[in-house]
Amino acid sequence: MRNYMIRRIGHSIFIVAGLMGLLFLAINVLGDPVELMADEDASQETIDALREKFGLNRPLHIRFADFYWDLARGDFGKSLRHRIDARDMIVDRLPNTAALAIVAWVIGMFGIPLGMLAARRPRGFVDRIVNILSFAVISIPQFWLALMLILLVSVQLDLLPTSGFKGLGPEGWKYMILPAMALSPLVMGRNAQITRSTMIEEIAKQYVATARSKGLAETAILYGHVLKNASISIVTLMGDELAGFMNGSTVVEIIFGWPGIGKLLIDGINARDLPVVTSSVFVIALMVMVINLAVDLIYTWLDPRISYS
Amino acid sequence: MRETHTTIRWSHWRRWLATSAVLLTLFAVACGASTPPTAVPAAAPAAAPAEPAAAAAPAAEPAMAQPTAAPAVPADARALTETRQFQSTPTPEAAMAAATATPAPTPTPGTVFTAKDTIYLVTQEEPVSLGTFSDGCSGNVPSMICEEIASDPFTWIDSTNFEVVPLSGVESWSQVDPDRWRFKLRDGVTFHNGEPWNAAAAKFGLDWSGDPTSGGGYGFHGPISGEVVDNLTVDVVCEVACPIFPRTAIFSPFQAPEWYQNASDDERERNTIGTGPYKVVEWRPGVEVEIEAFEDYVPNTAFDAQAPSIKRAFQVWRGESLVRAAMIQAEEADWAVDIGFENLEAVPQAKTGTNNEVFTLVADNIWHPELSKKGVREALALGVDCQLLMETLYDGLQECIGNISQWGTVGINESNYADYGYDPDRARALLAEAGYYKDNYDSADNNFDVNEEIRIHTRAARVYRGLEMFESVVAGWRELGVNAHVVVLEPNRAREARRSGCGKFVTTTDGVKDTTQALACAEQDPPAPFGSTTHYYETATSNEALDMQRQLFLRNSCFNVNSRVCNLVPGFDGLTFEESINDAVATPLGPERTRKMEHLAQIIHDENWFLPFFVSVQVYGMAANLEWEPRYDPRIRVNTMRFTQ
Repeated sequence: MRNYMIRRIGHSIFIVAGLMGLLFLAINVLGDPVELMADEDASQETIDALREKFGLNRPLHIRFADFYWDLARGDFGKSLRHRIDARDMIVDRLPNTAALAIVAWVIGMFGIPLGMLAARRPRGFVDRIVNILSFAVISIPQFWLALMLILLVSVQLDLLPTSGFKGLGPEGWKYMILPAMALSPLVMGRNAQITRSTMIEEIAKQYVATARSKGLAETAILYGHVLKNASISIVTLMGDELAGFMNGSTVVEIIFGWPGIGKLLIDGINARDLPVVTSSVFVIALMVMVINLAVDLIYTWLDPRISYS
Repeated sequence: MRETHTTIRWSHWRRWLATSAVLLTLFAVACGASTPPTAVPAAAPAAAPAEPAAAAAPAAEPAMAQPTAAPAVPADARALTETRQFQSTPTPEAAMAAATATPAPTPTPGTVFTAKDTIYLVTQEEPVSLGTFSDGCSGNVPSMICEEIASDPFTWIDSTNFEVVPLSGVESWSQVDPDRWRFKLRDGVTFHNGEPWNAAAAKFGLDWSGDPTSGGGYGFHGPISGEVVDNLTVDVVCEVACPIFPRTAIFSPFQAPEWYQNASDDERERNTIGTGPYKVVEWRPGVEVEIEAFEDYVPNTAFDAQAPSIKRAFQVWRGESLVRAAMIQAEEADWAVDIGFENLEAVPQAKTGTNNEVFTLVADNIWHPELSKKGVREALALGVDCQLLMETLYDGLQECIGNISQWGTVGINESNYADYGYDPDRARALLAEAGYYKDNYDSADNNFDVNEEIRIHTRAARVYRGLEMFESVVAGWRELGVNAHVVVLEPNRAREARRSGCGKFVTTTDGVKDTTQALACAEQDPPAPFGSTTHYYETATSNEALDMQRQLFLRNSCFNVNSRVCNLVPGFDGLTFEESINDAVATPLGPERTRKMEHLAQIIHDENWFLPFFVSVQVYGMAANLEWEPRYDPRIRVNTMRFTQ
């Protein structure tokens, strides 16, 4: 197990380093950040002066070498757009993205018991309802859902604030509800679908018939045996969804004014703000790797046949 | 079998019924939650009336969320703008008065705060920087704090009569030489941190503003510097004659020099220590910016230089116009910019104002094989039914125009501002005369794609329904047999398109500019970064100083990267067009300058170098108890806002 972990970490470092290199080339080849930084009507003198100020007039290979050297020291540099430390910007916003992601993800887990209920009696009434609802919520665009929630819950019913952020403490919880409600249905629907289909597949297997013939209670069969065998797929999906949330739910962040990484990353890409993009991608890649590693470790607990020795 | 088949059919129908029921329920919720569409009043963009004291009366009345209530905006925008034109065109006496304005100093009243002491302002995005000297402090509404709230420039343009007025720090000004203006500063004005406002501090700001590497006001007044005459007198020295400097001084930011010189880079980005009516309290990145009234602000006679009446203000931002409007409806915010025409009736109070930007297409008059022909450009202008587009897409709230700067600009008159009109028959004739149609073009089948392609390069979501408008324009052109397409460019590429003009050929060696290549740009290939003809590219070009000088330098000069015009036709009085620009710009305010500017603007109009559409209208949502009038430009001063209860 230890060797496995070391190998995984080594691979991850290699992958992240390669990713950062690709990012650098993409940002520099696909456009000039100085042209975007300056006012639209700025003179060529202003553009040239800015390019010199930020060292962007140096040869590409020198900037590439400096980039990796700074990366090795953990120095992502200052945002070209905002002129403040890029790492600080990410660190400020990471807890906001993580909190929203976790809340939406936890709400989404309610899809699992729904999927289990549906799987108990395929093509029954509950199964049909769960099926229809899960397809419906998967099909609803998050953008539209977010706006509808604002209009209905905030404007019409005046139950919650329309948008905004007041910290992650007790005062700020009500600002998280609508964004989480906008994000979670998709996850809930997918969890319900995957749970339902994998459980139906497992229920059809011979060992379930054997367990029933031995007189085990249905609940014991479902939760003790079937669910555990089906959970490999469920955990895989959940890990993928959490990793997706950690990328930042850009649309929801924009609509609700939630200060997360997603919008910062999109703005950074549009502005060719390399420090912000590299620090964002670095942090996101790190989180995705941690989540994938955790999922792999959970596999070994769920299925003792899986071993990384 | 039959029973099973029936069971299966019935199960199938039950599933469809259940699905339909769910979808209908969701649809009903959506329709019930949304504001019903209402007729938008067919009125012109609200403009400030003649007198500031009467500003509230003719402007849009508070429009409650009732479909039948219509804001009381003037029915005829043309009448309003004509009034504005009469007041704004400088007569010799007015020009001299403006040039040597000496407003009477006003005793400083104590600041009186209204009962509601906090205002929430919602913009489209977070400011990039709060430092008024920063490159990130660009001239848009999200940057309002650093641009015009925390820092008072020398002058301001009164939105009611377009006259230049002094702000807090200035008492008067006079022109000493063609390239030198003397500003008398007011005593007792301080920066937010207590540093004194004096000639040395003004010089610090002027030197920064005139530095080409600093951006900002440089784009309006070019290289300038400050010279201290005495403690409260500073000279502005321009590199070339600058007869309208007081106008361009609306973009002259100032900061406390001692603080600025000792501040870290972070501090310079996160704060402005200016002389403005509000000072920065805190910037919570991603969340809000808090400012508070500067209690030692010294008001002046101008409306925009009044003492603040609201104690605290917060700037927040939401990317969606519907969310901004929803915040007003839910009373979470008091003022929101750009809520969109569709939300006009949803908010307690809505006002419209222009944002001074002319939404226009810039033709590649130099490198495109067809757009370089006047006949083709004229035909394309005549092939756009602009009036129909304004009525269909903008409910008549936008007005078709024929030039690249708004009404009230020195140089704009009835003749050169007139819309081109719609005449498809004439357009076809012009295209045929210009040889646009290829031999294998068949007008009966309209196989337009055999002719030379003409593109519209645009950005996404730059202007409300901009893309729909261009799609309509292109459809109309295709009816004429033009091989036209709309291409949406990614923001960086769009910038490259705009900045690939003749000015790219200007080179600087050891500080000396060489313009030879730029003057001969037509003989060379299209320059990088775009590297090929830009066809038509879309831009929304502003001109807050309201003088054609800016548009001439920016869009019609051989030496500007944004320009696709370089001596394509002669200018006036036997001069080349480029020489005419320099001559007109150097002419002092008065009838002669106006004549020259109008002549050049007429050429711009007649040559169809551009295809202007309208001056963009901004829709503001406001709380019912907030009193404020939009300006002709999107510059926001919180000290002009007050709560009525």
